[in-house]
Amino acid sequence: MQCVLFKLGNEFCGFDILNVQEIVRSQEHTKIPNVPEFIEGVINLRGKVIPVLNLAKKFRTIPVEENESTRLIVLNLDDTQNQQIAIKVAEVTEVLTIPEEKVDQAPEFKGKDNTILQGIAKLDDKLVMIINPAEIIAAEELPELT
Amino acid sequence: MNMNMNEYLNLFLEESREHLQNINEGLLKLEQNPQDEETLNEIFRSAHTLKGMAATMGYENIAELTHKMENLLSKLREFEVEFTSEIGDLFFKCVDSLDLMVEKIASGNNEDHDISDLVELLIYYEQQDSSQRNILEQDLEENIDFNEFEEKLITQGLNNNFNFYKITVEIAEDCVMKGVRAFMVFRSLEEIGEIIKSIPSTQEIEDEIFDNEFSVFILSKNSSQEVKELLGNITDVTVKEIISPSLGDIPETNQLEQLATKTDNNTKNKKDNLNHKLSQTVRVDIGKLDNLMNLVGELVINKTRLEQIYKTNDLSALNETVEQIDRITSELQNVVMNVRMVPIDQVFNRFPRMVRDLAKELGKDVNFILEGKETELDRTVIDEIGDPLVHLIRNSLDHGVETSTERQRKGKDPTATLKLIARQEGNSVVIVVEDDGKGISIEKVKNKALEKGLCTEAEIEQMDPEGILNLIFRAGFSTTEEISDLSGRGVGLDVVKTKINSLSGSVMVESQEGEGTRFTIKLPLTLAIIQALLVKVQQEVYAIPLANIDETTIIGESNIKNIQDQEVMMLRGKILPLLKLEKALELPLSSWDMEKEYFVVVVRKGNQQVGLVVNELIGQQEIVITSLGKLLSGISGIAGAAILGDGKVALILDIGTLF
Repeated sequence: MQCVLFKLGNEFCGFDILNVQEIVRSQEHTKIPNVPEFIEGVINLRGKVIPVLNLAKKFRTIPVEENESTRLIVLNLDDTQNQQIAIKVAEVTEVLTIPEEKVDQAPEFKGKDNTILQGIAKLDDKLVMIINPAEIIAAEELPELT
Repeated sequence: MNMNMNEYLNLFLEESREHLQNINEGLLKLEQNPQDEETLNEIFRSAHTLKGMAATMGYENIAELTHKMENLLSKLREFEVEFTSEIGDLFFKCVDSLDLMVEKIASGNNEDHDISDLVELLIYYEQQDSSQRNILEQDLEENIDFNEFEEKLITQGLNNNFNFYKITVEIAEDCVMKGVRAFMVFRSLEEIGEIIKSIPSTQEIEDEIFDNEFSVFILSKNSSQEVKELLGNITDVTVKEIISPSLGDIPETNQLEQLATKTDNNTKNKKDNLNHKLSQTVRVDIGKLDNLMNLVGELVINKTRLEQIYKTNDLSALNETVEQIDRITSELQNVVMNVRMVPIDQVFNRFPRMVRDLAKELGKDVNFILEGKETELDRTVIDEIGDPLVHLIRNSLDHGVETSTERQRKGKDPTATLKLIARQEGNSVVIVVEDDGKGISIEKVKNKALEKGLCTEAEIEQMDPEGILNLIFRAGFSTTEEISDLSGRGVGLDVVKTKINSLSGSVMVESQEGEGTRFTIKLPLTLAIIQALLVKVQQEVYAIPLANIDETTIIGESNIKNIQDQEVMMLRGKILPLLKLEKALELPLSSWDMEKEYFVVVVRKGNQQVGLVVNELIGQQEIVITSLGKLLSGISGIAGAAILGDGKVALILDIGTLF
C-alpha cells in the first residue's frame, strides 16, 4: 500500500494514500465554540468549509508547533467527497510504498479495540502507525456530534 | 439494459410523470367543465404521447392502458360518449395505476401490474354508444363542414378554373413515421395547389392522431392523374381515391361557427403546447447546479485575491481588468442563484387532486382555489415544504370545513372554499392556507391544553386569544375527539411548526369561530443567501442573520445594571437582558471596561428580546450559507459558515439555539 507519512510528536504515522485528497500549507482557521478541544476550527478550502482536527491533541502527544513545516492533510472520509476533514500535522515526511507483509494488525491494549489504528508497519528504521481516517471522528469523544 | 436504454429510461420516467400530471390536471378541469374541448384535447395528447413512449420502451401494460384510455377519450371528443363522473373516476383510477406502474419502473421493479379490470371498464364505456357511433361516423363521411372562409376560397377557385379535389390518402400499416409521411404529402400538395382542409385536422395529422388514412381537400390546376402520380412517388403512401366533390355537401352556416371556434382552439392549443414544451425542455440535475455554484464561489474568492494583489502592488494597469472580472463574477453569481429558484407550482400542482379525493371521501363539497403558483422559491425549500402543506390542507378539510348540510343549516354557502395562496413579500415568500369552515374554538383549545397538561390555568389566564390559539402548535395537541385516518394520527401541528422552523420560516394561525381559519407560513426566499450583520468578538468574525435582529445600539458601562446576577440595560424604558456573545460562545471572558462603550445587537427569539454585546460592528453583507459538514452539524448556537470576501470563514449564529 502507498502511504503518506507524517510526524506526530516523535512518532511516525501514516494515512493510506487513497484516503488523502491533498496536502496544503496550514492557514488561519476560524474557531468553533462548544466542541472538543482537538477540533481546532474550520478553514475555507476553495469554497468548501472543512473542519481541522489536531491529532496531537487527540492522542495527547507533544503539541504541534505552528511553523514552516506545519501541514494540513485533507482526507476524504467517503467516496462522495461530501465529508472531508483536514488533519493538522507537524510535518509531512514522505510518500512511501509499504509491502502488505510488513503491515501488522494493531495490538490490543487492555482489551480495548484499537480500531483507530489500521495497522502498524515495520520499516527498517522505524515503526509507522497507519491510521484509519473514518475512525478519527467516530471515536468516543464525539457522540453528541455524529 | 444497456447504457443507451438507461439514458432513455430517465427521460421516459420524467416525461411520463409530467404527462400523468397533465392528465390529472386536465381531468380535474374537465370535471368542472365537461364541455371543455381544449382540455380534452390536452389530455388526449398526453395520453397519446405516453402511449408512444411506453410502447417504444417496451412497457406494454402502460401502452395498452393508455391506448384504451385514448380510445375512450376520442369517443368523448367526438361527443359520442358523454363525460360522466363515473368516467371521470375511471380515468382517475387509470392515472393512479399508470402512476404506480411508472414508479415501479423507476424503482426497478419489473413486476406486472394488473390492468385488466380497468381495460374492461374502458372498453365497456367506449362501446356504450357504438351503434350510434357508426351512424355518426357515416355522417361525418358524408357531410364535410367548411367554414365561411374556406367556402369562399373554394367558390373563388372554381370560378378561376381550379379543380377541386378530395384526395384520400392511405399510409402503409407498418410505416413508422406516419406524421412525417403525412407531412410529405402536404408538402407535395402545397406545391401544386392550395390545401383548403383536411380530415382529420392538420394539427391532428402532425400529432399522428389518425389511423392509416386521411383526406385532403385541395384546389389545384393539375389533373387528378398528375396529382396521383405526384403522391405515388412518396414511400409508404398510396392514393386511395381522388374525387371532385360538389359544393352541394357544404353544410349550413350554423355549424360553421362551431367549426371556426374549433379551429381557433386548435391553433391556440398549438401555441399553448409550444409554450409548455419550451419551459420544460431545460432539465438540469440539481447536483450540477450545486457544482456550478461552488465553482462560482471559488471564482469570487479568487477575484478578491486578485483585487488584493492589485491593491498591494499598485498595479494600475490591472485596474480595468479587475473591475471587469468583478462585474462578471457578481453577475454570474446572481444568475446561478436565480437558476436555483423554482416556481412553487411543482408543489402546488398535486393538491387539486388530493383535495378532490379527500373531499369526496369525507362527503364534503369544497371549491379549491390556488393562487400564485408562479411564485419562486429556492429548490431546497421547495423540496421540504410539501409535507407541511399537505398536513395543513388535510387539517382544514378534515377539521375545518363542514359538510354541506351543516353549512346550509348555518346559512353559509353549501360549497366550502379552501384557498392556497403563495406570494412574495419583500425578501420572503408567504403561503396561506385559508378555509371558510367552522374555525377554531378558543374554549376548546383552552380545555384541551389544560387537560393535556400543556399549561396551567394561571398561565392561560394571562394569555391573549392569539396566544391561546397558538397553543395548537404545541407537541401533543390535537382537538378532534375522534381519530380519523386523515389528520388525527397523533402527529399534530407541532410537526408542521418544527419543519417550517427548520427552514428558517415561521407559521401563524388566525381563526374566527364560525367563519374560518387561516394559516400563514412565512419563508425566506432562499436558504442559500441571507442578509447578515457581521460583528467582531475578540478576534473572530461572526454573522448574525438580519431576520433575527431588531436593532443595534451603543451603551456605556454606566448604563449597565445588575439584577440577580444578570446584566441588563434600559432600552426606551424597557428592561433588556444583556448577554456577552463571548460568553455564549464560550470564548475566554473579558471583563467589563468602565471607560469603553459597547455595541449591543438586539435580537429576537420568539417574544423574547436579548441584547448581544459585541466588540465591533463590521457591517451588513449578503452571505452564502455553507454547511459545516456532517462532523460539525448540530452545534448549538451555530447555523453554518459563510465565506467572506477575503476568503476567511465566519460562523453564522443561530439565535434560536444560542441562548
